This record gives sequence, C-alpha cells and structure tokens, in this order.
Amino acid sequence: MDIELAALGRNVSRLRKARGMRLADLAEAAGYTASHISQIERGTYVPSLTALAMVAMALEVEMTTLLDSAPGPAVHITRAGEGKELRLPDDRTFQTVGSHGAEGAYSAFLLELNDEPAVYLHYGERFLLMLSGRVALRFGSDHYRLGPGGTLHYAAHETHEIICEGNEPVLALIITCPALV
Amino acid sequence: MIVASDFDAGRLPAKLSQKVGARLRERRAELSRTLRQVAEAADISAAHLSDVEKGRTHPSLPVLLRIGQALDLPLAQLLPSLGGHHARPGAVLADQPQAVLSDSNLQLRVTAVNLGPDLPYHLDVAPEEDVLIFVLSGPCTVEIDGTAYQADRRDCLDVERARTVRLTAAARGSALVCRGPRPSPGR
Repeated sequence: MDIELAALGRNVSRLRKARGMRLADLAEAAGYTASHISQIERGTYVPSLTALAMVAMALEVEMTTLLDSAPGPAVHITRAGEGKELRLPDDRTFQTVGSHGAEGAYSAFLLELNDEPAVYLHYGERFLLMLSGRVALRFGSDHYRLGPGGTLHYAAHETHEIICEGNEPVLALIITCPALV
Repeated sequence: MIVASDFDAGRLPAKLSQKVGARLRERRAELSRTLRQVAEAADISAAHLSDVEKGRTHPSLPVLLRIGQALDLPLAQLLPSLGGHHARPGAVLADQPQAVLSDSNLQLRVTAVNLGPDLPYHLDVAPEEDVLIFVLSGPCTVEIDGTAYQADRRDCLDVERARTVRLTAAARGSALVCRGPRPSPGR
C-alpha cells in the first residue's frame, strides 16, 4: 500500500507540473486545500475516493492513471556543449551526449575526427550523422561519401575505414547499438 | 498531426542479432554443451541465453563478452563470421516532414523530423525501447508522457520508459529521433 501511495503522489505531482499548475491551482480546481494536495503528493495522506476523483478531474485524467504504479520515464538531458569528454589514446575526442549504461539501448557521442584515416571493426551497428565537414567511409570496395546532413546506418562488424575529406573540421553524431558506456 | 509510420511491416529476418545468435548456437553445438552449462559459465540465465541465440534480443556488450568466453569464441572471431554488408546512406533534408534514415536489417530506428507550428511529431514508444532525441535546430518542445522539456540546437534527450514522445516547435525546428531495443536483463 505504501508503494501505491508513493506512486499516487508522484503521479499527481508530475501531472500537475506538466500542466503548469501550482499546488494552489490544483487545490482550487479540485476543491481542497493546497496543504491537502501537498500531503497527497508526498504520500503522507490517504485521500478519500471522492478526493481522488476530484483531483483526477482537475488534472483531466482517469483515476486509474493516478494509481498507476509503473515507474515513470527517466529523462537524461545533455545540453549542447555539456557532453562528458572522453579522449582516446590516439587523441580522438568523444563527447558522450546520450548513454545510460550497458542496460541502455544505445550510446550517443559527438565525435571530432582529425586527418588520420582510422580503421574500425566493432560488434553491433552504428548510425552516423555528419554535423560539419566531410568524410568518406570505405567498406571493402564500397565507398560512401558524406557531407553535412549526410547519414549512414551500418553494421560495424565489417572492417571499415573513415577518412576525412576537405578542410572543414569534422563533427559527427554517432549512435552505437548496443550501448558502449 | 503526423503519426510515426515507420513501423516497417516487412522487416527482413537478417538482423544482426539473429546472425550473432545463430553463430553462438552453432558454436555451442560444436562443443556439445547445454544452454544451462553455457549460461552458468557466462553468469546469465538460460532463458536469456536462449533469447540471445534466437536473436530475440541484442545482448549487451558485457553479456556478449561473457558468452564468448564461455564458448571460447573471441569477439574477433565472431565478428568476421557474421558476414553480410549493411550500410544505408541517407540525408537530413529540410523539405520532408519526416524521413526514416535507418536500415531495416539493423536494430536502431532513426527518423529525421521537421517541425513547425502546424507540424508536430508524435511517437508511441514500445515498452522495451529507449528513445534518443537530438535537436538539430530549434527551439523545440519535447513532451515526454505529457511533461514538457525545452530543447535547443544540439541538446540531447536520452529517455527511458517513455510511452509517448511529442515534438513541437513554435517556429521551425528539426530533430533526429532514434529508438532502440534495450537488451533484456541478463538474469
């Protein structure tokens, strides 16, 4: 019961904030005091069925939505330029922009490439989006040339080479599956 | 409203995870070992190993390495045996509301979306998927299960357990939306 109460509180709080309501706004809409709503959100007060129905109506959701005990979404935000930097021994730098461990579906990096052609062979797959500069990817006799806005989705288990072209600095978004970090 | 329509009905069976699974099963047969024996040696459940062999799940890297060790099959040997060349080139274009950029033989599903006042993007997320949103131009509003986040150029949102994702832009915006299946818990 404690767990469901905590979930109820979380749900009310999340939905209230998502609708841009203050405690007082929800209290007024539901016909209760802000202190009551606050106690419901903190899970310290068991609301009556009537109160629950009024809160649900004020939030414009079904009552069952409020009682849903499934954990809500987890959102990890990396703002532009705030990725965690990783420097490899060969001086290439990665910025991790989206990754939440080996149990996640993918890892996303911003990759700066220098002039040195680099050969890769990995398990899994890669999605590459060019943000600036130009590269060529070579898989055996197949070549793919990419400029800004160009993408390539490929299985990385075949030996491949990434070669920078032109003078523009190369910045690419790379998404790996499975996750690397 | 635009509803994501990139659930390709005819996904081909040649996914990488199926090739990896088939190779692992073949190797286990060569060694005449049971699912249970190999699973125990790799410190995962037999059910998980079975799913990996059937290609139902992409194993996480640590799990794959442990299975490889249990089967005396280094990654360096596993990879070349997979064969098959999959590479799909594409481009993010400004003149399409949305464009699927991923190869349907692979696991990630990537869509480029252009947003505007009358051009929102809505995605229903499958329970086993994580969703990555990388903003290409903005500002955009990213609503995750009804909660709104403001995001601008090159901001990245990595989202677990979302049910719905909705992208909007008051003026013009664009983003890359990538979905992938989480590896199932190993044990």
